[in-house]
Amino acid sequence: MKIRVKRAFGAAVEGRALVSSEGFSPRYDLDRTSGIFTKPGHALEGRTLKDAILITPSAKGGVAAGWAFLDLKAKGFAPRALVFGRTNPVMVQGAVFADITITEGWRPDALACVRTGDLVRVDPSTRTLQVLKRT
Amino acid sequence: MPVFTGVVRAPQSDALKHLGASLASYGSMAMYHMEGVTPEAQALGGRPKKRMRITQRDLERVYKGYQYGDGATIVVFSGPQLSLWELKNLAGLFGERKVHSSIRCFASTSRQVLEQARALGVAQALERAGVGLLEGMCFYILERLTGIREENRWINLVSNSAKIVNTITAHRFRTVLRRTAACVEIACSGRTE
Repeated sequence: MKIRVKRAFGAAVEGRALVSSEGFSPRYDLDRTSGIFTKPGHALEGRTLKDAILITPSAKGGVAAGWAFLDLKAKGFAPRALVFGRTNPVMVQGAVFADITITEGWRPDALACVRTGDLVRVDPSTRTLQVLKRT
Repeated sequence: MPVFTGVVRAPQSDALKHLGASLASYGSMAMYHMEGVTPEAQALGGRPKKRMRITQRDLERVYKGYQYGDGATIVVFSGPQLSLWELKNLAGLFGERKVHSSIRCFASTSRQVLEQARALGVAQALERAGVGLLEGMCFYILERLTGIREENRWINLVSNSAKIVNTITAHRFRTVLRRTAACVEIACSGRTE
C-alpha cells in the first residue's frame, strides 16, 4: 500500500513504523538518556524512538527541536524518519540539521493505514510512504 | 491560531510570555492574538472556526486537578527563564522568609538578567531565602534530569509555569501547577496542600 505525502526531505529509508495517535516533541516526551517515551499517558509510553519511522499527527513544542534531533542522533537514539500529518518549521529545520528524513501531509490518512510494527519505506524523491510488510 | 477576547485586565509581558510558552508546549502553536493587547488582533475580523469559553471556574478546576505523590517536593520557577521583573517580584514574595528545610527551590534566568539582578541585590535576596539560581537554561532542559531526580528522591514538582508542569513529566515528576504566591508559600512552609 502506498500513501502520498505532501512535502518531504531526506534519504529514502526503511524501518518499523511507530504510530502515535498524539503529537510529538523530541524534548517533552522522551527520557533523553535512553530515547524511550517516558511521558506518563503518552500513546507511545514505554516504546523507543531509536531507528523507528515515527508516524504522528502533529508537532509539539518550540525552538528546542531545532537542535534536539541532532542531540538524539549523537546519543544513538534517532528515528530513521519523521512522518507528520502537520509539522512546523522548527521540526523541519531540526530534522534537516540532523539529516533525518522528514515528511508532512498524507493521503490517505497514514494513522488509519499503518500500524506500529509494520515494515515501511519512506521515499522523499517520490513523496511516498509505503507499507512493505504488515506485522 | 487562537484569539483571546474578553480579557479584562491588561496583562504584563511576562504573563503573555507564559501563555505563549504554555500554548506551544501543548501543541505546535507559535502565535496567538489577544484583543486589546496584541496590535493585529483588531484587524482579524471574521468569524472564528471554533469558540471556547473559559471561566474562572474552569481555571480553578485545573488547579484542583493536580495531585501530589508521596515524597520530596521541589518548587521551580522556570520555563521560560525569568525576567528581571519576575525575579524582583519573587524576591518581594519571599521577603525575609526562607525555603523550608524539606523543600528545594530553584529559579532559572539568563546570564544577562542574573547580572542585572545581582547588581540590584535581587539575586542575593533570593539566595538568602534559599532559592537556588540557575543561569542560562530552563530547568526542564537540564541534562540527565531523570537521574538527578532519582538521586535526590524528588517526587513532586510545583511550579507557576504551565509549560513546565506539562513538559517535565517525561522525567517522571508528579507536577503541580500553582500561582506564584502559592508556590512561594509551599516553598517556605513545606506544606503541600
